[in-house]
Amino acid sequence: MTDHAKKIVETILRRPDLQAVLRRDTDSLARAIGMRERLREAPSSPEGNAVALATVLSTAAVAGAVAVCGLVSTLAISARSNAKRG
Amino acid sequence: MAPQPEFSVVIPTRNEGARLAAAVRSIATGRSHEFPLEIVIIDDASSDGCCGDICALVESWPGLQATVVRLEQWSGIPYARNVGAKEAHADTLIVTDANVEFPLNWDLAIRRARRRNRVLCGTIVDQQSSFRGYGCSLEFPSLGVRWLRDPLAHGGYVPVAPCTCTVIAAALFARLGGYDDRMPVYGAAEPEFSVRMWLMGVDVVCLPELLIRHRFRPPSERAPFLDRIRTIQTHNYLRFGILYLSDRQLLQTMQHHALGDPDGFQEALQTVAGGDVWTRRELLRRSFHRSFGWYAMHFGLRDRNGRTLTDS
Repeated sequence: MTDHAKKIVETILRRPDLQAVLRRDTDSLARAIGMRERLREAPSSPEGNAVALATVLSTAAVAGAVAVCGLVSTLAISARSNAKRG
Repeated sequence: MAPQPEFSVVIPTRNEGARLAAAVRSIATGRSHEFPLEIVIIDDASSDGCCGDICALVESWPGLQATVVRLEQWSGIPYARNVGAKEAHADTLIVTDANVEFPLNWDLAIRRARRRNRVLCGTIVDQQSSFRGYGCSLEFPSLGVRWLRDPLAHGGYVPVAPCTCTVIAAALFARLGGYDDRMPVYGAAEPEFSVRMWLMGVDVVCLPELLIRHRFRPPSERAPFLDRIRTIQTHNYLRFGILYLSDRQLLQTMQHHALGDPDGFQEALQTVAGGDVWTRRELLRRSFHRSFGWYAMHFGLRDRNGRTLTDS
């Protein structure tokens, strides 16, 4: 079974410009979601879905870069700490 | 050898000063009689020495035994609570905070309401005002929580049990796997645990008569704290969303947090996606008795457009 959520997240991570779409408005999101639902109906490869989703999101996007700032160090420390304990 | 305690009260604490001793005192003296009781304190790397004499204080009351575990670095409430639960010896855990005061006869309401597969929560009363919270509701798309002001808002059932007073069987806590300690420090672990309980077939019920007085952080303390941990919270809420939501719902939650934390969103999402979230998501879905759509319908969760959330 294809995990669409994972593809959505991976696509957004791979394409920081898509975060501008994500932040915009519900119309942009609805367009992206609508495309995903059409894709779900069509038999195609997982890679194909991801690329197509990215294309649709990109089409709806307003150009703009997303500032990528460092996560506060506490998070990394805590995550490492928990990982060690886990 | 100490007798088997009837309850283990689990208290994570970090720099709570004299409030911890006051909480312990109220728990000890509020018992309806001198039944065996264990207090497990998890010192989350405090620097104020608040746990220094706490064992002696606890054991000055008949029937009380104390366990204090010190964490060497700040690990956060979910992890601390899980450590406390592992150290506990009683069949019933009472998870609470260090900044509370328990009422007289607090155990009677718990004894009356205890049932198999049921988690109880106390009513949280502000020490400084007339505020009372009868459990919490889950907010969408933030996945934050809001206090319930009506004890019968959901017929006495509670979407999210506040950790200020959550009563749960130790065996059930273990079966559920405790709090998600991959949600570091603060934020999302409390509602996530309650949603997991509901989806695994557990009911969460409020006890309107069990009034736990709680010191809410004043805005002057709370705002800088939340600002400091904003991206940690973003991380935790994104993890929560990925674990439970449909694609459509997840997009809305991601949008909410991308807007709320534009600088930290990318790295928070990267950290979540790079961890065990996908494995855990599959694992959880295989073990649920109910779906998130069921939870949303049951408690009337709606999206921004007022539409009822479903599984699609």
